[in-house]
Amino acid sequence: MKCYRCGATLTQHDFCTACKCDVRQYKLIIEASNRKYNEGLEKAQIRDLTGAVTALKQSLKLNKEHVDARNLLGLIYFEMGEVVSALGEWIISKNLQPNKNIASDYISRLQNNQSRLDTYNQAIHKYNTALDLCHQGSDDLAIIQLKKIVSLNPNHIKSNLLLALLYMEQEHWDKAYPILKRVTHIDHGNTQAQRYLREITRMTKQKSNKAKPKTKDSVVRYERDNEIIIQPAEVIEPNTGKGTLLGFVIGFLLGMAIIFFLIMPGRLQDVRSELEENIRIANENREAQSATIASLESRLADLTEERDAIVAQYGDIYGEDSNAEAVNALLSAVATYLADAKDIAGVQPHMDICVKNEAFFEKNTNSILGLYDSMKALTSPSLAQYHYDLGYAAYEAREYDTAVSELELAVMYYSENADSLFYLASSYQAEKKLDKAKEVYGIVIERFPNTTRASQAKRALDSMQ
Amino acid sequence: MIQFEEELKKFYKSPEVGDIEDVIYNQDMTDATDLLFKIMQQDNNGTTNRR
Repeated sequence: MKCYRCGATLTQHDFCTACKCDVRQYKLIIEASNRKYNEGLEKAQIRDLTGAVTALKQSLKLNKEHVDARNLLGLIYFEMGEVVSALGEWIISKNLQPNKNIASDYISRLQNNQSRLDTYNQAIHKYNTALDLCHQGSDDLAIIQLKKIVSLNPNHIKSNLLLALLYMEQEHWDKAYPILKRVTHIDHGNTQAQRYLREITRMTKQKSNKAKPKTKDSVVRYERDNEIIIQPAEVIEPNTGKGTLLGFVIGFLLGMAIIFFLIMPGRLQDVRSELEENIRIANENREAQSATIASLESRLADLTEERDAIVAQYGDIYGEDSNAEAVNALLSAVATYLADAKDIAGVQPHMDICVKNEAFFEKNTNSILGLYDSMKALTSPSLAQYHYDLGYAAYEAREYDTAVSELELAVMYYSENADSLFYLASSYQAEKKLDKAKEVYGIVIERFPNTTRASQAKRALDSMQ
Repeated sequence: MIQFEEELKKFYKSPEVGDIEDVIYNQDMTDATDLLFKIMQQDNNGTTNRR
């Protein structure tokens, strides 16, 4: 605390130790101002903004140079939506104490955000307009304006209170109530809002009492087992026994009916649709497979025809498989003979293949046939003897079918052997192949006349006739 | 019972940004200390006059 005359710091004495002036009343005033400031601060901390404003104004009335009280008052005005009043207090505060004053920060924040300041100003202007409309009797227009204000600056307490008042005038208690609750949330100590809330509560209570008249017969009293039972009259006690059973049966039948008539048809339809879909898909697959099979069969026919054509074409050049086998046999025989000329047993099977194959002599070239002739010339006497020996042994052993096959080969290799022909004919005869026997007997008689074999053949012919 | 007209009289206009000069100039800046100084001054003058 400074002396008001000389500015010296005051002590606990009632006079200034510097200029000796009386400061007792001055100190009392300053102390009272400080007390009011503290009171205002406490109220502001618990959001009793109305009470805080009153206390701070008193503090400033005692000491206008109380910068803290003025700054706090500006802050509270700002919270209540009175932006211009707040600015005024901060500007005055800054003039009283230009340096180290938080009011400078508050002012610069507002001035830097010009759009926000315009919004606040717009809200205040609309409020003033709405107030004029109320005085003129245009309550509905005023309500519209006030709704816009509440959206621009929800903290503007005067707008909220005026809007609540207008709703209460129109008996829209449900609309006024939340607005007033919002005001009390911002300012707990707002007596106007609390009065309005009390009025709403009273009016709504009256209305609910009128709507629900009490009746005398609303409860039923009776005794059971030394107890007094009190229950509302409309309560129906649950039944037991037959009633329950009947209810159960009815409920069951009703449920079954619902399932059978409502749920089952739908399910059946779903299942039917699913089956039809599966059948359709199966049919499509089957048709696709049939088409594939037909295509493959056609392709197979084409390939078979092509193969036959190729076989026919190249068969003319290289011969059939049997002919090719005979040619290979001939070449093998030649190779065996060239390796060992006395290996008749090695040559014999190859030459037998050639001599038995009729196509070999028809389809082969002259070169092949010439080679065959050469081989036959070289080996036929030996091969004829080889087969005659085997055939005669088989004839003697009465193995006539083997005798026939061996003796036929012997005759193929060398047809001028009377013994081979005679025993071949005899083997035919033994196998009851009489025509062939007669033929061969005839050849023996013709080719070898006046011989023993011819005479034997003639007698055999006579015996068959 | 709340009377609408009576309640409406309690509402007054808020100052807008353009009115801020008026708000500041119209502030009554007289406080208790000013009154005290005035009284002390009057006392001093009275003492001087009595002399």
